[in-house]
Amino acid sequence: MKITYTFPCSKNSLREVRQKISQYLAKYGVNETKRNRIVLAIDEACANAIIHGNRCDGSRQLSMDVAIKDEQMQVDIYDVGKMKGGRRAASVRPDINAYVESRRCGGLGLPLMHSIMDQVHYHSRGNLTICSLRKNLA
Amino acid sequence: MEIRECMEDGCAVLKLAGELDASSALPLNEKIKQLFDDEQYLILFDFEELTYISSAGLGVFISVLKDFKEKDGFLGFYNMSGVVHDVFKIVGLDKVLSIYEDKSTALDHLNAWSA
Repeated sequence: MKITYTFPCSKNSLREVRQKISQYLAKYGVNETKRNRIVLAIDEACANAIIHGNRCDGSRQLSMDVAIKDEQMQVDIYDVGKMKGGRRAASVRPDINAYVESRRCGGLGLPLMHSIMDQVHYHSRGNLTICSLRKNLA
Repeated sequence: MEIRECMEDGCAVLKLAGELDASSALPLNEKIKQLFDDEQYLILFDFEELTYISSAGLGVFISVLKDFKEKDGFLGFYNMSGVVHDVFKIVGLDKVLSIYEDKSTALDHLNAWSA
């Protein structure tokens, strides 16, 4: 089953996004640990689009397609914000001591997404920036 | 997210309830900075009622840790649920922060540390 969900470009939308994804995964019998991790990864992708891609512009909307087929989960998040280099971080485990030393409060979202999902890919189509996430649920 | 504060043995205890994400990180950041400005360098965080944390929440603690260390301060965490602890583990933050099973263990460590 595929669901499409559209929500306002606001940090206040994140809670409802998490609830929708969690309910969707629960219907497929995905265990709690895996479910919580996937919810986190999608939350991070949405927060990234809202904050960095669209500067919390509440007049904009984000759209998300979620589908599971043959135990492969595919999530595509669409926004009209610009794709910047910061939205395409390398899939490395963060050096947490360096974060502490530099008093860095951001930048962990993309490493978290890469740690949890099998594939994280940012691309453009027309005026859209699309974040595509994949996870094998088997 | 709700933040409740009390003092115990000279230590500020912040009890967090709800979800700590990009929409709720700022008030916590401001609360910690206010304590720091008031020279309250010993803080324990009770996570018993914290049901979710994202990178924005982790960032709050990462960004202040060095400031507190430089003041010989102490940030401790206890009553962390499996869901929340898992997020700390994914990024390796469980190796950097002082995380305890419960309040009495946290206070024991704090008292031994400050003795």
